[in-house]
Amino acid sequence: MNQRPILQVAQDGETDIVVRRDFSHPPERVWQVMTDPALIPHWMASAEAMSRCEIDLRPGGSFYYEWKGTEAGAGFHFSGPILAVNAPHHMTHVEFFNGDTASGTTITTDLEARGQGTRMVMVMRYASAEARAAAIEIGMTDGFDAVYDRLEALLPAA
Amino acid sequence: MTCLDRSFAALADPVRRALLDRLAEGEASVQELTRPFAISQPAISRHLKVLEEAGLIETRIAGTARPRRLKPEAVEALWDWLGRYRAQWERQFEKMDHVLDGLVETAPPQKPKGDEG
Repeated sequence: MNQRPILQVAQDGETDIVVRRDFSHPPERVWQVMTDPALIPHWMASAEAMSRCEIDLRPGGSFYYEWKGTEAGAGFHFSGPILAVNAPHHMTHVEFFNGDTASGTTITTDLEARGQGTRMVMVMRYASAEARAAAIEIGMTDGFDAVYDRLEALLPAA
Repeated sequence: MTCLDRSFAALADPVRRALLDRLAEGEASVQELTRPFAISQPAISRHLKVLEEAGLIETRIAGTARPRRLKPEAVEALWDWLGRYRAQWERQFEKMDHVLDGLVETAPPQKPKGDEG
């Protein structure tokens, strides 16, 4: 039997991406890992470590996640307002990339207890169909990078 | 080249994506597939060959006719063109799993009270 948790990523309508994922820990813990600024840098995906991670978790609050630039690439940050919080089950926030408030992505995250674990459903609503396509393309590029990184790791040292 | 690479290469061309869109509606002959395009039937045949080699479509033999149709697995493959994007999420969630497991090691969850035989 496949022990890997189910992950579903699907496009919905013109602008949405829906991500579903099961965790083997209860919603309280998943919520903690998702929202504690001391824990977020341990899992949030990027080749580089986060250089700043702040989150004021309340309706009307905001967050700021920053990655410093390196030789390999320019730095970037995600920030935006937090619209709704109902710990440990629901959060709605808006993400702006590099402070570009013209095209934000609205993200709703729901955590539901399932047996001993949690089902997460995250809906990312992009500003337009084009913005969604660009986000997927960037994600795919990162995927390629990771494949190359793994290949490189397999190569014998010169 | 892996099967996924082939599928991606096959999907990279707008004509081939349009052919798949058409085949998603049902099987069709090469003539029927050629009609909406301003390119020759041999060119369409070459695109169809790429799609077939990528495992996205197949040729059905019906007497002298050779209609093309989507392979059942191809529907899934097309659905999964988000696959690499998905892989990025999977890596991130696996890291979350590790952080979650770490939390349990440092602070075991409270046993639920009552209702235990």
